[in-house]
Amino acid sequence: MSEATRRAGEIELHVNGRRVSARVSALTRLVDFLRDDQGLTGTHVGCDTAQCGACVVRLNGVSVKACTVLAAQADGGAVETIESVATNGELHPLQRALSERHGLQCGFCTPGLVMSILDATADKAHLSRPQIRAALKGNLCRCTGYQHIVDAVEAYLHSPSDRPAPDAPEDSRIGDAPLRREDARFLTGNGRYTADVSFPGQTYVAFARSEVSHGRINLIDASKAGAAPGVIGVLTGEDLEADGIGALRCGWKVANEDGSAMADTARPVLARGKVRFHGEAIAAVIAETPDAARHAAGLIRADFTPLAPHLGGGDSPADEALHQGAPDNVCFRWAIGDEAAAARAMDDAEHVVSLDLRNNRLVPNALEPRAANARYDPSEDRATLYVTSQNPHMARRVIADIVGLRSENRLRVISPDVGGGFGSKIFVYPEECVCVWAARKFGRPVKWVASRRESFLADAHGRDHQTTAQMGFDADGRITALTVRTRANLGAYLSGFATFVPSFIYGTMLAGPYKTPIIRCAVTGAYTTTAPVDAYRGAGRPEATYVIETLLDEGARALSLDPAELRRRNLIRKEDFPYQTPVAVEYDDGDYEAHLTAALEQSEYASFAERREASQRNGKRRGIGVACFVEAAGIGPSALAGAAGGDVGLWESASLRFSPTGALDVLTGSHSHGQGHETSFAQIVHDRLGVPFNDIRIIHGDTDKTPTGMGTYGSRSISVGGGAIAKAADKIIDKAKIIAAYLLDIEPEDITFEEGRFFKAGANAGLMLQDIAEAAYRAHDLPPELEPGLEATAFYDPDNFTFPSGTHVCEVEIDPETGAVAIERYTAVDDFGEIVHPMIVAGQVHGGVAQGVGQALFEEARYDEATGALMTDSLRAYRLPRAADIPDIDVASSPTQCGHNPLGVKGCGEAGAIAAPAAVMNGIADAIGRRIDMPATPAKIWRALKECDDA
Amino acid sequence: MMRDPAFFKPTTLEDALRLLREHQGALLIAGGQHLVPRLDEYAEKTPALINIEGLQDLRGVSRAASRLRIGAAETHGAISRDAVVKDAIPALAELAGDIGDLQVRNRGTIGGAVMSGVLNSDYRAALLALDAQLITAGATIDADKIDARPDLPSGDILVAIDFAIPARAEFIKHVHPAAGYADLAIMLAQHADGGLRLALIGEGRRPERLHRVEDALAKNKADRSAAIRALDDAVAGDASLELSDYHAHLLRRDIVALAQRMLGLDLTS
Repeated sequence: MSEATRRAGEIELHVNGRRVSARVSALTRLVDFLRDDQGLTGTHVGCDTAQCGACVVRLNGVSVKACTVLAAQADGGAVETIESVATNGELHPLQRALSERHGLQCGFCTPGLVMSILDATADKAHLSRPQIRAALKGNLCRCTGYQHIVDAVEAYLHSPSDRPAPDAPEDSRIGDAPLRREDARFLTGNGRYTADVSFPGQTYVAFARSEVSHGRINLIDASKAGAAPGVIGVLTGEDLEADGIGALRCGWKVANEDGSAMADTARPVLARGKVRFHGEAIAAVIAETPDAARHAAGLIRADFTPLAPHLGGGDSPADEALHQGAPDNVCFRWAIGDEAAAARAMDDAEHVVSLDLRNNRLVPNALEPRAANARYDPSEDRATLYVTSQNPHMARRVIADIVGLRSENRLRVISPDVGGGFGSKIFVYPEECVCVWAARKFGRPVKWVASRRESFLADAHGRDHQTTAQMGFDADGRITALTVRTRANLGAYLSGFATFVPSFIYGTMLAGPYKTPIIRCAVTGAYTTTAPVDAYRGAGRPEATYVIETLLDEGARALSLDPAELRRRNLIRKEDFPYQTPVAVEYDDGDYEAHLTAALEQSEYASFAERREASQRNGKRRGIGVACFVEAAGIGPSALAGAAGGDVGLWESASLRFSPTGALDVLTGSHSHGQGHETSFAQIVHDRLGVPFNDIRIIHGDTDKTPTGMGTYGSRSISVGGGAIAKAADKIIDKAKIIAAYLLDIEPEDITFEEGRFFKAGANAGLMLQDIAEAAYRAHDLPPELEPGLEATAFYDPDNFTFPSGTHVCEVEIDPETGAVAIERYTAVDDFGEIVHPMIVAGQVHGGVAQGVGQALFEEARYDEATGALMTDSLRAYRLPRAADIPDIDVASSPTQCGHNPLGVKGCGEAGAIAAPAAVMNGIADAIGRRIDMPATPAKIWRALKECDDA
Repeated sequence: MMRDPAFFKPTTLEDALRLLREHQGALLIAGGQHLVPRLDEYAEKTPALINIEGLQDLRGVSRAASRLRIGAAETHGAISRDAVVKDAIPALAELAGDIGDLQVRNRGTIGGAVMSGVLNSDYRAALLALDAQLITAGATIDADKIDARPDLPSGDILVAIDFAIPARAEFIKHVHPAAGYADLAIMLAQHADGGLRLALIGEGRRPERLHRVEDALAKNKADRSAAIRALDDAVAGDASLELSDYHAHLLRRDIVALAQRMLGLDLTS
C-alpha cells in the first residue's frame, strides 16, 4: 500500500470549526456520526431515501444530505451543522427571519432547511418567490405549507443583514403575534425530540415485520436472531402470555344501527396466531446497537400459511375472515337519519344528483418518525417512557395496563418536542408497549426510532372511504335531502379512535353549513388486510365536506346555477342560530354568508370569466372551485363522547402555579407538536392575569408534572386546553382577590382587577397579582381560614363542540396537453372565533391547505391487489407536497365569537385539510368539465379530457 | 461485528485500480448519492469500499475538436456551471443542473449516476443521444453498447465520459412525482454530419434510441403528412415501446416540439 493510500477507520475532520478525530466504521453515515458520536442532535433523520432534507449540513462549504454521505467520506473535510449557525447566542439573520415570519412549526425540518437555504442563498442574489420555492426542492416541511418559509427567505434576502433584532415585545396579549418561544431552540438545533434522548446502558429494538399481508403463523424461528452478535433478547407473540402482556383496543364502541354491539377486536402488540397486514410486527429484537438489532431482526424466520388478502374493494371477502369475531369482516354498520323518510324526500326531489366518490387513503407522514425510549427502575418498580405522543396521559393509562404495571402511576410518560403529528401520534402503538415491556424484562433502557418505511407500513393511515351519495334539490335549488352510503376501511385492527372517525365525526357533519332538512347516512366499517386507519388531520370532516361540496357542484351543473349562488341559497343564516341539524349536532353560532361573500370578493370570483378566457387564449383550461365547510372542533363534550361509545371524557385540564417570587408556571394537559402552545397559551394567561409575559412558562408533555390531560387533536388545544387555562386563571383571581381585599382593607366586592392589578375604583392604592402571590406564600398575614400559596387547577369540559367554518376558493389552470395542474390562486376565509396569535393561525391554515392539496393532487397509499403488499412504502413512491407544489394562500378571518367558550375561540388546526380537497377538486372539475377521483394526477386529468374529446 | 468492510481512500488512479484488484468485490464510491441510501442492499457482502471522488484523473472537463470529455467524478452541480460544457453542449449543462435537488447536485457525480445502473438517470439519455463513450482506465466503450449497468472489465474504473458535440441538442423531462427521477424523458441531438439521435428514458424501462422516429424525422422533411404518419407509427403504433396511452402522448408531443424547435419541422396534426 502506498504512502498516499490511507485506510480509513480513523478519520480527522473539522466539525463546526473544531478539529475532531474519531474511529468510524466504513458504513457509518455522516448523520449518525454527528448525532451519535458528536452529540450534535440538531441534524435530524426523517426518511431513509435522501428525500426529506432534515439532515442537511454543509460539507466543505456546500449543503449535503448527511444521510447520503459516509463519515469516512468527510475525512479531511470541514462539516458545519445547525449548531454552528448562531454565533455567541445571536441568531443568524436567516434564523431571525424564520422566527419573525413564523417559518417553522414543529421544528423538525428546520435545521435542514436553514442549512439548505444558507447554501442556496450563499451569493445573496435576488430570488423570486418561485425561485425560492424551487431552491427548497430538497427539503420537505409537513407543517407550514412552506408559505411562511418563503416569506422568511424573501425577508432575509431583501433586508440588510445588519438590521438589529426587533425587541421582543415585553407583553403579548390575545390577538398579538409575538415571536414564538419555541423558535430559538428549534432554529439552533436545540430542540429535544425523542430520538435525541439516550440513557446510560441504552439498548435498541428493531422489529421483524410481516412481508405477508394475511396468513396463519406456523412458526417464528428466532434462534438465529437470538444468537446474533450484540443481541440481548428476542420477543415474539408467544412471549405475550407468559409475560402477562395485554392487547390494544379501540376506545370507541360504536353501536350498530340495530342496537347490537360492534364486532370488537383486540390487537396483540406482536402478531399472535395470524398476521393481518403487510408490516405487522411479528418479533422484536433487542440489541446493543441499532445496527445489531436491525441485522438480527433480518434473521428472524417466519413460516406462514398464506391467506388471501382482503383490501375491502368489492364483495370479495378473504378466504378466511381476518378476525373470528367478525366473520363478514365487518366491524360495524352504523347509521344516522331515517332511511325511509330520506328515500321519500329523494323521490320527491325536483333534481337529484348522484356521485360515487373515493376518499383516497393517506399516510400522515409527520416528518419526525415515531420513536420511543423506555427505561425501568426496579428499585421503584417504575418505568419512564419518552414517546412521540400527542396524548401522553392516554399513553400512560393504556401502556401501564397493557404491560401490566402495578398501577398507572408506575409509568411516567414524557412526550418532549414532537415533530408533527396530524393525528398519527394520538394513538398508542405496539412499538412503545414493547419498549416498556422489554425495558422491564431485560433491565436495560430500550429505544426504537421508526424508519420512514416503518412509518408507511405501521403508522395509522387516514381516510379511505368509498361512498355513494345523492343530493336532492327543489326547483329553486334548495337542498331537500342527502343520502350517503359509505364503506370505511378500518384496516386490520382497530386503532384508538378508528370507529369514531368514520361514524360520529363524519355522519353528524353531513349537514355542513347548509339547511338540509333530511339526511340519511349509513356507514359500514370494514376490516381489511391493511394498516389500521384512524384520525388524520380533519378526521371524518374532510370526508363529509368532500361529499357535500362535490354534490353541490354537481347540483349547480344540473340546475345551471352558479355554484356559489347555489351555496348561498342553502346556507344556514345568521338568524337561524342556534341551529339544530338533522344529524344530532347543534351549531351554536356563525355567519356563513359573511365568509362566503368575503371569499368570493377576495378571490375575485366575479371576474373569473375574464381570467378563464385569458387562459383559453393560451391553450389552457381554467377552473374555479368553491368549498364551504363547518367542522365540529374543540373535541369535545364528555357526555357526547359517552353517548358515542367513547371510553373517556374529552375535557382538558390546566394548573396555574405561582412561585413565591411571582413567577408563573402553567401546566397544561394539551400537547404541542408544532402548534406553538408555549407562546399562545402564555398570551392567554398574560391577557387574563396581567402577569408579565416573560414570567409565564408553559409546561406540557410530562405525566409526572401536568394534571391528567387529554392531549391534542380535533382542533381542541386552544378551545378546550385554553378554556381550562382561562378557568384556572379565574380561580387564581378569585383567591387573590380575597387576599387583596384583606391587605388593602376593603370589601372583596369593591375590588376591581385589571391589567394584573387589584384596586378599588377611584383609589390610588392597589396590589399587583404577583405581589399577592408573594404574600400568599409568605403567609405571615393572610385572611383567617385561607390556605397559603397561590395555585389553581381547573378542568374544562365544553358545553358543546365549537364550530369553525369557512369558505375556500381555489383557482386552477390546467395544461390540457399534459394534464398538469397549477393552482393559480387559493383563498381561505375562515371563522375561527377569537384569534389568539394570528400568525400561528395563518400557519395552521397554510399547513392544512397544503395537506389538503396533497390529498387532492398527489397522495395515495396503494396496496397490491394480488399480494396485499403496500406498494407506496417510501417517499420515492408516495409524493408529499414540496415547496413548488403549494401556492401562496390568501388567508383572511371572518370571525364570530364562540359564545360558550371562555375565550370565544373555536380552533383552527384542521380547517385547511377539511376544505382544500373539495375546493381543489371542484376547481379541477370546473376546468375539465368532469369529475375524477383524488389524487388528480396529470395522467388522470389528461385521460378525462381525452374521453371528453373522444365523446 | 456483522459487517465492517474496509474503507480506502486512494490518491491515485493506479492505487485505486490496485485496491480494486486486491479486494475482489470491492465497491467504488464517488458522491455516494445512489449507494449510501442503499448501503444495506449493496454493502452487506462487500469486503471494501474504495472512495474515488478525490482522484485527479477523474476530474476536469476538456474539449477536443468535436468531442467533450467530462471526468467521471465531476458533480452534477459542477457540470451545470462549467463554462466549457455550457458552451459545447448547453443541453447537457441544463440537464445536469436539473438533476435531483441542490444537495444531490453538490455531491452526485456523473460517473456515479452512470455506473449506479439507474436506468432513468438523466445522463442515460445523453449517453445515447450524444454518441458517448465511456473512457475507463483500460478501455473505451460505446454507450450504444452498454446495458442496464455498464459492464466494465473486471477491476476497471470509469475515468471519464466523452460526448460528441452536436450541432444542437435538447432534453425534455417529465419528472416522476415522488422519486424525482425521469418518469419519461427524451434527448434529441442533431450531429455535425446532420445525423439525428433520439434517446428515450423512463421509469422502469431500458434507455433506448428511437431509430424509427429518427428515420421518420430525417427522411420525411419534404413530406409533412408522411412525416406525421411515420411519427405516429413509430410512437403510438410501436407496441414494442410499451408505453401507456399517456406516456405515448407525452412522447409524441415532445418529439413534435423538438422537431419544430430544432429542425423547423411542423408535425402538428
